[in-house]
Amino acid sequence: MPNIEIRLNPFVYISETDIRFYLLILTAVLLPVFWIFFYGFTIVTFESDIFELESRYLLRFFIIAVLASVFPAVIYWRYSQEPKRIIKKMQLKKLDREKYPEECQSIDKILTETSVNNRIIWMYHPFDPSESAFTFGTTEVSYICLSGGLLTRTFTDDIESFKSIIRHELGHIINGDVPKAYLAVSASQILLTLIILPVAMIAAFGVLVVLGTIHGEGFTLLVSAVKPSSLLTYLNVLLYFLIFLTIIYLLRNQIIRVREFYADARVYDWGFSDNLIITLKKYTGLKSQFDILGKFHPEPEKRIEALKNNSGLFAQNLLVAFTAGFFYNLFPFFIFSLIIDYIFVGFFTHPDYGLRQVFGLVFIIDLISITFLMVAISSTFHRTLLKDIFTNHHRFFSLATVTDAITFSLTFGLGVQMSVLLTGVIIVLTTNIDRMEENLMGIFLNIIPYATSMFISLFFLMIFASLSIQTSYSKKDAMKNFFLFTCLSSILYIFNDLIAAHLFYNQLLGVVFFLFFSLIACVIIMNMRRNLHCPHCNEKLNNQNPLELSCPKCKKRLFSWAIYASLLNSV
Amino acid sequence: MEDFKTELASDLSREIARDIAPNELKLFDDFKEKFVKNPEAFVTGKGQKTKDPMLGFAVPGADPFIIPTILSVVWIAIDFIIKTGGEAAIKKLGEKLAENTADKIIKTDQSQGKRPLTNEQIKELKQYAISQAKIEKINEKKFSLIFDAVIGKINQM
Repeated sequence: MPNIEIRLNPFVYISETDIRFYLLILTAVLLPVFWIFFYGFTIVTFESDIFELESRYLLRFFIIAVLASVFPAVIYWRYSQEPKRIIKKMQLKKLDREKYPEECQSIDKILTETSVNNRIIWMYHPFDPSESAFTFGTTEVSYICLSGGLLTRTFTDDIESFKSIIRHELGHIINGDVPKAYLAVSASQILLTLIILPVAMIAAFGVLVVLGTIHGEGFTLLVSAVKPSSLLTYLNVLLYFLIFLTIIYLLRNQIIRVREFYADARVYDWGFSDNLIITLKKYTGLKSQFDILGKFHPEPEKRIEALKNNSGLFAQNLLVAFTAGFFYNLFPFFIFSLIIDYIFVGFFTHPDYGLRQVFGLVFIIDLISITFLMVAISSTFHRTLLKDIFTNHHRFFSLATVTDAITFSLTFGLGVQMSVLLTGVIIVLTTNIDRMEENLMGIFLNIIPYATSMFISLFFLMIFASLSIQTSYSKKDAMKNFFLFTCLSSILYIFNDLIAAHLFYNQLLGVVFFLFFSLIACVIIMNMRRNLHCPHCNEKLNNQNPLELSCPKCKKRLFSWAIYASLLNSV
Repeated sequence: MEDFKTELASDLSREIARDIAPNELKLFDDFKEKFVKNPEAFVTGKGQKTKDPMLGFAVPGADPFIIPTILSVVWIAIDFIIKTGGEAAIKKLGEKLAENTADKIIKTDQSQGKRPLTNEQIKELKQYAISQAKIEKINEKKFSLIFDAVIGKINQM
């Protein structure tokens, strides 16, 4: 057996942070549409018996359709204006080749070394004395801004650090972090701006009450026209906005912190990790002045650790589980509330209707939601399996991964129930406060069925993903298998969650579904193995141990696409 | 007079920066641009706070630039000299500086045997400058170093 050096490739599959970025942006789009224009605008305008019933529904639908398309447009517009705004606000200047010839030459050399061809505009921040840089921009153009300190002191005193910092920034650009991060910023900024609406509603209501007290009947009638209960609704809207803004803020910062590791990993890919480690070592032990919740960067010590051994990037992140669970409840809630409940007169919450009556719709919406979320979950687990198989030399997966799956499932269940709690609290507050206590208990007990359904899906995923990644020699095969088993896991989850747990109240059915899906997956895997071809010479490969496979024709060793592997000794 | 004062402060600061902060010199024009717009409002340290930028490299903490402190101290010194009746001396200092800058050599002018600032005035100026430095939150150690350099340069001319 030759001595093989294996390093896991952190840029495989779909990035879970990408999915979380999209979730964040979606939330920022859906939330204002949901709250402001239903509880705020429509109650006041259309609930008062001005219009006929049918006209009211049509108007509601029209408003939703218009606003649902306006919000993404506004967010995109703000995002496209962001570079201009940053340049103006921070008084950034364009890096002049005549004034900084040596610095520009050095940058050109780095661009050649790293083969980065993206359109980049180089700026500098003359008044920032730190040895730093940052990247911003849009999909079309990226900007890298060097601090005054980096451009002068660091370039003169420590050219290697200057280069390392620039390579790290290029890593962000190549990893596609810029558009996602700034779209997320734009989305949260728009949401922050919109908070003014519920505040204005509450203020207007307050003014009417005061005027009513002073001027008597006329105003009192006006107050009753906008319904006193609306005030509670506006307060809830405000509460909702604040909670979601906090979630978005924390989620955004956490995702961006993770992306820092990936920017460093890109520098590793380019072969300059040693220089980056030296640069980061300069800053170790320094007390960070940034508050952990607000800061975008992990400590230099952690970044050095990840550069030396990147297996940390392949570990489970429970925030992924929590986020997935949270949005698994939230998106269907938003969609149902928008489509059915508020457009079609409380259809879904009507006592004569329920899950059974709209089962088809629930199934489709939940399936779409979970498949989207499962991509992030599957990506996390594929990476853990890579670590188990190629670094820790397990045949399939380790016991630790099974334990992780249990914790992950419970956290997912917790995420679902936290979302239920959040949406439920608002509803209960507006309807019946006494129901809160009994609901709370039920909410926490409900973690178990969600966690069980998730664990069954994860276990299925772990078995068949571990079998498929070993023989996915090309990116095409790897991605095809990734999506195949991700979709199967999602469907299995929906079967367990909706049919077994919520329709028939029998979770044992989940085991039957698991066995049925496993049978399908076994057939797929067997068929896949029968049709294995060498990615180098396209020779058909016979059944061999996938971990010790070499092509019988070209004799080249075959490695999973998802790892970097190099032979220290020739075969 | 105001324009002359601003221009003098900038030129004198550049000379001092050349000696004590040569690696920041490329940024001098950027600071000067900001300083010239409104010298009174040019507060040292403003805009120098280190942030943790999104998608950046994030290095916590950094020594502030010296140039803004030089500009501030020079401005305070010139202001003091003018207020204490040294307008003529300041004009002469400006002419000298223009000559020296043109020659690229700083020469000591011993011919008249009179320096723009007497020892007594330097003491007074230091008191005044310290009080201003406190208001403008200039680092004390850096302030002393720069103050000595400024006085040295003024008297050298």
